[in-house]
Amino acid sequence: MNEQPGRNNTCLDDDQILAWLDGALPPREADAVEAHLASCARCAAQERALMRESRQVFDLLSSLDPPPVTHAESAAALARFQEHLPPETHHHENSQPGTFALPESMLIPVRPFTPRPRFGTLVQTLVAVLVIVALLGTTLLLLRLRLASPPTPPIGALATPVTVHAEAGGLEIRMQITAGPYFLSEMLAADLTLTNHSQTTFLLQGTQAPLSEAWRDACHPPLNIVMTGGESPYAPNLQSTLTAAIPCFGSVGTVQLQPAQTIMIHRYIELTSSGHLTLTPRAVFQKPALGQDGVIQIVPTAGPLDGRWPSLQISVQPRVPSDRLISLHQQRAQVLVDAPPPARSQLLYVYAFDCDFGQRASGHESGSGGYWRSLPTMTIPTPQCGTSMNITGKVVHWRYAVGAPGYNIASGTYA
Amino acid sequence: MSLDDGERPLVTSREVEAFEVLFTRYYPLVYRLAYRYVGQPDEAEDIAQEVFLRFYHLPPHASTEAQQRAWLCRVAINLGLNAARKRKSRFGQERRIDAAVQENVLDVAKDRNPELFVLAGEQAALVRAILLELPERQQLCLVLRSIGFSYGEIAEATGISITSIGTVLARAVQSFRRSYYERTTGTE
Repeated sequence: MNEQPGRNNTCLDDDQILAWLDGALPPREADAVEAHLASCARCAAQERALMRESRQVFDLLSSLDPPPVTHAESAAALARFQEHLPPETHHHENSQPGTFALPESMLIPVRPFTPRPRFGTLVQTLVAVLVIVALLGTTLLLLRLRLASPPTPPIGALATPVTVHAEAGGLEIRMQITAGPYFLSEMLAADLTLTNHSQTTFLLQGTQAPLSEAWRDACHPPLNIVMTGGESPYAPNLQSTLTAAIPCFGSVGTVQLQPAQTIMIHRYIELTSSGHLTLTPRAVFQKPALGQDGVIQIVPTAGPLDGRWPSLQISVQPRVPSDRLISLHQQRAQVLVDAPPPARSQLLYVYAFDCDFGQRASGHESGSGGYWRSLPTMTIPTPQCGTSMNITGKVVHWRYAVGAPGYNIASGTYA
Repeated sequence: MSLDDGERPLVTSREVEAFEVLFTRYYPLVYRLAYRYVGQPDEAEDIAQEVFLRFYHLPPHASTEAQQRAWLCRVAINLGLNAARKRKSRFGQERRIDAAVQENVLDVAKDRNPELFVLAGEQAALVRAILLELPERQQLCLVLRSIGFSYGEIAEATGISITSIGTVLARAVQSFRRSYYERTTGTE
């Protein structure tokens, strides 16, 4: 009974796949799962199904949510809470009107969130020196990159990733990006790391991604990369496919960065414009503040790294080097991928599609991959419409893109 | 004032502020969790107030804000679950909703058609009823995960071993989906 076609004894359990999707596995186990998914079509299909199914369940649960609570409503709730406290607690002599005294057992330390200087002048000087060193390092790196970026002879393996780094006020930021040459429609892999060496808890604008929307596809990660600059020629078709395939979910929230904590974000960057681009890691710091209406709100504030974020300037060529070219070929209902050998084990793909259910349902269903996922074969899996609803539909518009870090992203449409 | 006042510890405005910050920061989350279970603004607010009152009178042994947040969420879910169970009979009559009708619900709700808002309400009642039928461990894990808790945070809030969270979640997702599609399409 347990024998299933295509299943072997190393196949993954659903909970392993789910934990992997949630980024909850230790690195070694995560690597093993990823390697298995890349080589086992059955588990890869199960991963896609689990991803889709869990997203459906979480969407259904989210549909129960009330409209967002405003700050004014929270303040009104706090006022009502205070009204319900016994008189002796909220008419304490030392209390301010509208506030209340807490029982001793209530005195739980809540970390101060406003970044406060905790270092002596000497340390601050040291930090300043470190920042200058980091900036100098960045500048030197930029000079080297600029010298290196014009068209280069074909290269086989990718060069060591480029790293920029800065430290200020006890915070350390590091950004590591795929090395050049850089060209239009290239995919870059970026690793961002923000470490809190201070004793202060910082608040960052961002969202802790819910299930199946791990950092890689969350729209509002607490650490992101800001790209500025760029000029014609652009890659508008790729851009529109990416927009459809990697839609935004969730809203901006607040993430805590506690002392000794590190936030790590892995992102893929798609170069959809040419010319000079500046890549800068960026986080928006926040703090609680008392508004004029007496309501405590979380507001943006200047952080120690503001004005000190390291950046990387790159020059994006319009033409794809021949040894970095990934191309797609449509063969009837299949889309085949052609990629240089070093890229084949690192292929990633995204997709978006619309379904038509004919007369059975007046509406239509859309689907998307949501994030860059491993492509275990040289064929892009064909989307299926409505299998979970027991209604068979027809794919009417299928957009897809395939790429690998350091290589171009090929995209296409099947209508 | 009363004599008791003299016996109470003096608290600084900073500590008062700390509770106010905690309340203001987590009230929306606590209210949201309660609302998921009861679907009524007044009742959800009562539950949220009760959660913070319990926190106030019998504060948890929580040394970090993450632990306080976990405590608030767990109590909100427990109180929401209790309240929802009491009214469950009202949702007991489950109706099969045709899949095609369901697909229309969202579109039509956009048009603010009152009749279809009723359908959207039925849909919410159905989702809520399915959630309530899950074993409590699965509910806790599913709901906490759906608001962004990491596996470690879920483990801390529920006491479930971190290595079991994935299994509980996978079962919860499967059970939820199976119930949902059984009732909306009549088959799985």
